[in-house]
Amino acid sequence: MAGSAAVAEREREQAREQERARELEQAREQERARDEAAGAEEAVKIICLGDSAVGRAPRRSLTHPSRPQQLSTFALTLYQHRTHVRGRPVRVDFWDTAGQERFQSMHASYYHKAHACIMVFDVQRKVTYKNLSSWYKELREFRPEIPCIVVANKIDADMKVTQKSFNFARKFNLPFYFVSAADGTNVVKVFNDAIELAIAYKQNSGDFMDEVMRELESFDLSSLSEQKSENFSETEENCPEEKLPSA
Amino acid sequence: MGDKPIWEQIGSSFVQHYYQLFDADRTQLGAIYDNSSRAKQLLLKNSLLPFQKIQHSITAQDHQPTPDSCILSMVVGQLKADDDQVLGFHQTFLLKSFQGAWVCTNDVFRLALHNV
Repeated sequence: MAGSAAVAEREREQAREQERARELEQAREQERARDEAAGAEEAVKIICLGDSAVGRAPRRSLTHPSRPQQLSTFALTLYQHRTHVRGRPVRVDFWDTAGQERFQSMHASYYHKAHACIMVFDVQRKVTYKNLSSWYKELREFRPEIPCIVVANKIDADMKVTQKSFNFARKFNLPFYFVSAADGTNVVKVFNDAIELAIAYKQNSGDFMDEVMRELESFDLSSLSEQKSENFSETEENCPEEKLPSA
Repeated sequence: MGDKPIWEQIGSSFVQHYYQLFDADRTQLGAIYDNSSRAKQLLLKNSLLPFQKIQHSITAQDHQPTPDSCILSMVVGQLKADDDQVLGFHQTFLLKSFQGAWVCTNDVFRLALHNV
């Protein structure tokens, strides 16, 4: 008796599991449909680099209504921003670090598949400008070709710095902006330009790793959907035959 | 105090002293390390960490004697560097008695970050 009860319980558990799997699949299906209705959203990843406390906060004013996904035990702060570029919906993931770069070097996954980079320094602290070259070196080890923007932050503290010349950006031929995160000068422009550059890069990248990733992604999608449709047709054909003997 | 084992007493006073020094002026930390090459590396690394000010807050600490009469201390806590967000950390110290005083001969440190 106890044995058959256990069997029945196991069968009920299996049925529940199948039910859960079906619900999950339906939810995924709905999500896909929603994305398609929204008109094939382009997704780009933009990373922030620079010493801590240089005020990489400017992105907060841009992404203001969206809440940052942040946990103190996580190494990342992820800001998601939705916008339109030339009529096309774009989802932007801004990545920032939790401050661990002071104690240990950045993990490679931070750079993985990034489409653009915003490098920030604090015009009030010379060392943050000097450190740009080591940030840039590390960036280029992982992402040799992505567009990179250099931002001089905290110009509100002393507007005279905007007359100074900062050679770093010129040396590497990078776009350069004076920004004040405190009063908002140039903040939106920096982010909009970064998004444009990220999209342009994503669409025309000649970087070998990106090409490989693109291949993999399109391969996954097409081969999986083909397999699935084949399976479906097989089961449909098989079903009637299987039912015949019992009928 | 009296009923606590000696390693607890030594370990916890070391830990308290270490983080007080670290938060106030980490260039002074040399005074509580021994002269081993590893200790010198640690001091150099500490002195180069890029922040102006730092605060440590100790959540818990454990101290145990080792077979060679050293003390093994483990600390779990939180820190805040400049204006960054608060981060968790773990640090383990190996303390040994040297010419009548307890000094640190080695330590390891990790931020408590999980999706790296």
